[in-house]
Amino acid sequence: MVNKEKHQAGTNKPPLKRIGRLHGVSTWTALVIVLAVLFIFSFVLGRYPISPGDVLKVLASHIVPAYHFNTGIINTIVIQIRLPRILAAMVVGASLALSGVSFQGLFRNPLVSPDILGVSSGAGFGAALAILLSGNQLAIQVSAFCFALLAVGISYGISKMVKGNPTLSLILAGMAIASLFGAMLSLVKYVADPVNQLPAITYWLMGSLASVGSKGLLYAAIPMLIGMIVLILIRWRFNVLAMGEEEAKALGVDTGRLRVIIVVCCTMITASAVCISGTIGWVGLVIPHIGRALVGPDHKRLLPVCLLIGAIFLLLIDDIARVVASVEIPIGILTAIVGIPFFVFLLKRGGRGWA
Amino acid sequence: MGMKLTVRQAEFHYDATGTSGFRDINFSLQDGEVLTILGPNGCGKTTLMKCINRLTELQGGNILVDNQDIRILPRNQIAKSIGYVPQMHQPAFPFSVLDTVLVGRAPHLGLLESPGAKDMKIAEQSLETMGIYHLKDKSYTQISGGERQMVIFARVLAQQPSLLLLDEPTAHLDFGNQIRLLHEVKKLADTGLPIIMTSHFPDHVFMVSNMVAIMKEGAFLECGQPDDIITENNMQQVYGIPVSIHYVDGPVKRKICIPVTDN
Repeated sequence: MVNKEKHQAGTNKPPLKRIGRLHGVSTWTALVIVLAVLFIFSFVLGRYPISPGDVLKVLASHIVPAYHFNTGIINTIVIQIRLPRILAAMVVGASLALSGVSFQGLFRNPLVSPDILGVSSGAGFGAALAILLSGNQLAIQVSAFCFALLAVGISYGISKMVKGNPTLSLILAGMAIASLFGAMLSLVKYVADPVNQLPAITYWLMGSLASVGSKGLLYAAIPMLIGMIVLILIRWRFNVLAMGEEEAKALGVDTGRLRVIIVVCCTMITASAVCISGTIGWVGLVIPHIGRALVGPDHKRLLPVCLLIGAIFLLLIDDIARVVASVEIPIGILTAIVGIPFFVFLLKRGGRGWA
Repeated sequence: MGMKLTVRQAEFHYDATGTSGFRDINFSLQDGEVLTILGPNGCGKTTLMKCINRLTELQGGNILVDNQDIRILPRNQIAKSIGYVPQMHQPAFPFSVLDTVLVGRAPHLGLLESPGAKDMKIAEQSLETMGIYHLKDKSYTQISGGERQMVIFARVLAQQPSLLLLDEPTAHLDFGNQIRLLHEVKKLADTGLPIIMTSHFPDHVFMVSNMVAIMKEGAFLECGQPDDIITENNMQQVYGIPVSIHYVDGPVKRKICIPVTDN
């Protein structure tokens, strides 16, 4: 007990307030500005050179009704090629970060990631199966989405049959189901044609935003937005849940119902994200820690901040993926390569994220 | 305030043989009454506390809050009436003291709501009542065990219940903090708030309670006024050790219970 308290006192370093509180600018405002600048800058990157001014002019011509700026190829590249991808990076990053922070709050554990209930394994299997059977882009997306929901549904169903601590049984069921879908994915890979299908499966599993079309993005964005809005609206309740199952109940919270709402929302947004981007790790785990380092553990402030950091992080990673090498680097690889050193830095620093 | 709790024929078993849990528990509690439940480890005290709050469902009998069975009350309604302080509190994240206390407002807020100016005021008042307003912005992990327990008390006050359940509120506290905490319990009791608490110390009963129940093997052995119940005979029967009970005059002015050890 004594040792533990000493340890806790030792890890309590002040938050990284200097970053957020420069000249009285709130963390939130600062992040919005960073995201806006990065958003415009991301259009400039790519093989075809476009100036930031032209980007603004093209975007303005689509927003302001009276304003026309149409230079053919630039318009096509900005609106049809780069815009869907930039938007996809932002919503996927925001989704993974938000479901990560929500699951960490729900399971009262800062080491939980959005994959905890098998959503990525389910999506991976669904995508691989669709690649094996058809190879149609939309079929892959739909199949990944459906199997992601199925995996979480089975996990939840199993946890309901188990007596005892509901969060623990949910995590255990999730781990089991993730392994099961992992095994089935291996089976699909084993029978897949090694010339065309196997590389397609492998590439999908590494995650990429290269093949995101505006239609696929639109379909995925609807469940994502619904899930995100609900989670943002109920975010203060995470503080109550963080007190523990029993205390939350004693504080008048219907924990069973709240758990269902959170699991459904997180699953909807993660499944939608994964089905357009493939599996992208580390975002959901690391971003909540960055968020806590910036604004502390209060979920009322933490959730919106994580949403923004997630969007910024994945947009930045995708920009790197697009330009750093002549061949595009799968984004799932980059999130790990950039995310892990950062995670180690945070671990070393300790403090606000860990109780 | 002005609440009445009635426990009738309460029964709960962990297994079919009925060896653990409790049975035949009957008592009622009104404003200004402080009931302390004494009993050896594993006698069913904590389970009974949890049943009063419906954290655990009774298997027989009823618990009535103002003549309403708690089985038909929604959870947030129960939380508005009954505040609960658990034995051990371990938050998953290092919330600030103020954020922790604000959580006490949960039963008064809808699913989509978060605490507003009024809730903030109530939370700050609760901190003042417990004398820990100065800790407001500290992180929960930066404060001592005694201070943490005070924070949880402030949280339960922010809940504005009309009955308090305190499950071994002095557990894990050092000697000084135990007495300081009991002093706070007494102050709350003096406002008329009815309190049920569990304890391992007969002395705590003499300090704060006007009612006591002795629980052994899942049943109330005795229930009544401390002077009648905390007797050398009863204590020996429950805890299996000889004790001596004396009235101490001077600044103490109450009975004390001390174990008799022969060297």
